[in-house]
Amino acid sequence: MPATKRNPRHGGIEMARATEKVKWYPGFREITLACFFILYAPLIIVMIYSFNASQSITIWGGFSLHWYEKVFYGVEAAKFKTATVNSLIIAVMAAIVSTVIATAAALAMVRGKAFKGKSLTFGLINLPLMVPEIVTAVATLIFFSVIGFDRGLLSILLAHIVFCIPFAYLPISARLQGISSIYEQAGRDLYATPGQTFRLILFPLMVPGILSGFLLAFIISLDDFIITNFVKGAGVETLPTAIFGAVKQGIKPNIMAISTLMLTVSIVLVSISYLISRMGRQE
Amino acid sequence: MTKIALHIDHIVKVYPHRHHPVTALKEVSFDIHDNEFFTLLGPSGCGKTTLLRIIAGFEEITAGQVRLYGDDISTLAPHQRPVNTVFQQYALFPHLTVADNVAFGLKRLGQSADEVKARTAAMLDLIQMTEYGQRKPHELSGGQQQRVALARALAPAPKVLLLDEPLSALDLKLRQAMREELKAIQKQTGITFVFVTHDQEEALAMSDRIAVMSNGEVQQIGSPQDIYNNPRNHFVANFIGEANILDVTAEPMRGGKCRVKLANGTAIPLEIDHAIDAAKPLSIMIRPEHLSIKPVGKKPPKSALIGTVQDLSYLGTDTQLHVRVDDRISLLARVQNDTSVEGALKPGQSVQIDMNLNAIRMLDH
Ligand SMILES: Nc1ncnc2c1ncn2[C@@H]1O[C@H](COP(=O)(O)OP(=O)(O)OP(=O)(O)O)[C@@H](O)[C@H]1O
Ligand SMILES: [Mg+2]
Repeated sequence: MPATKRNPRHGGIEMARATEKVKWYPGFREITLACFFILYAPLIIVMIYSFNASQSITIWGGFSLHWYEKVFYGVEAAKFKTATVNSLIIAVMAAIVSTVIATAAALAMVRGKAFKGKSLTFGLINLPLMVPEIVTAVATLIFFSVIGFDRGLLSILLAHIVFCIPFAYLPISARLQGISSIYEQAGRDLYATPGQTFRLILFPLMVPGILSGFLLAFIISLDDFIITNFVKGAGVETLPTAIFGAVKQGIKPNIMAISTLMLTVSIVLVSISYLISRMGRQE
Repeated sequence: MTKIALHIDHIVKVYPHRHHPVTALKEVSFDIHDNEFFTLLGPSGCGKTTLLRIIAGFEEITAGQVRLYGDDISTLAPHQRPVNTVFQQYALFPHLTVADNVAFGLKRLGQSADEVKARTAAMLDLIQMTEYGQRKPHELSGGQQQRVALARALAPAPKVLLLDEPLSALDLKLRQAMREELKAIQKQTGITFVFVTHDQEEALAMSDRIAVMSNGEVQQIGSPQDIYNNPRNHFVANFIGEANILDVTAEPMRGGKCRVKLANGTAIPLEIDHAIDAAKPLSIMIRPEHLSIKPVGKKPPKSALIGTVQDLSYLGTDTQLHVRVDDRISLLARVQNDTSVEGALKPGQSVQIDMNLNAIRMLDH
């Protein structure tokens, strides 16, 4: 890293003062606690009741792994297994393809020369984040019908690739913006061709951002319901649509077990993504 | 004949800008000799970095040419030029170890693994950092990073090494130690160094020759002694060291000499070889250490310059004082502290100022 003069102690003091001030605003603590409660209480209840021995979703009947067993070996196990495999295949492929596209887009946007319509392009890349998902879903469905595209796994995958791009793009371009172009200049100065400079210097420095982008795209795809529900063909299910289908027939505790498993996977992936980006920053 | 390493030939650089293009270099021309420690010195924004980046190939030239040992390199890409740079921010590759950083250029040049290893070890030895080869750059101090940046740029044995204010991020002690180390490494390797700084002390201490720049133009080129003792114009006189600059009028005398008169009428006999256009406004320059100051004696000579001490500042080996002669003339003087004079000087005191005539210089403008 360039030897910028840092003064962590000074920064620390400033920060401490700022937090102290916020604490004194009347009502801040209460509002914060209320937000956390509304956000996390349902999740915690779902997690706890997934270990419930009783059939009821409201009455605690003791600890048991019964519902987890049901998930893997019960009557609906086969249905959920197919849906999970579909979800994983789609999430992995959508994440890979959208990460590659997002990396190329970030390179063009951040490192490329200024071109006409650059800010328009930036807007277009990030627009899917702002457009209501239901609109995208309907539009995609209409698009596939108009061109006569068969609805099934492939249509889901294509739709996922498209809406995952902005999610992969954000961490990658943020990382790229944080890499000073002085390293590439130093590479060129030391006899590296433009290709070698990318392969040996810029790409390794971008890796944390690319991994974050990949994981984020993966989670977003794994978790998507609305668009998937519109563009999936009859009989094709991903995990979220399968869960929704099951819930329509009444909430059973095995749904809580599945949700808890999904939540765990998401938390693990988000933590990895966070650790990677922190590692990148420390370097 | 000294060989010419770099020939900077009428280089113009205009940074295009939609509304107001910036002219960073206005027809700069000079030669840098083989095996020379050459310094570009000038205030912020005078175009030093621009010139260095043009030599390295990072910046396109608007007009002119760069020749490296006779070859026109103006159109080559940076990786095609046998020239390396030590960047101001070091720019060590953060994901590579110190040894891999130093080896980077060698590998790109296609040297064998054994050659790369031997050369890398030799470079780490040169900067006395053999034990640090496996560390990452962020595990080094600023001074150590600086030395690794130097080793990395020297490893491929470039024909010319470019250094852009490499010492400016170091603290004073380290900076002074690195000055000597850099100079020693330059002599040892025999590589031509082009060094950029805005610190005149650094330039005087290290360079074989200095180009003083301002506003995209070279004001003067010469050895440190030459530049300090014979500044060509106001800018150089003021920028290098401290100077008293006084407006004068000249009147020629017999025998090639001429006499100049200060604004208060005091006459100074000066020996000047070139013809003087007495109609033009003229000025003379004298350094503070070439003024001698003593308390006014009983009978000062009529021609003596008399002034009042305004203030004194103690600088360790010297004392610096401002002496006011009249409304138009105020002089900066420096007295060594081992003389008996210095103890006797007090603010408000009347003093006699004697100029060392040999040290007076006429300035162009
Ligand atoms: N990329 C650029 N675009 C436009 N103008 C520039 C650019 N780079 C430099 N300049 C301008 O060119 C002039 C010379 O800049 P340069 O960086 O060469 O100065 P410098 O002598 O290295 O100064 P410093 O001592 O502050 O580093 C300045 O007026 C600067 O504003
Ligand atoms: Mg500069």
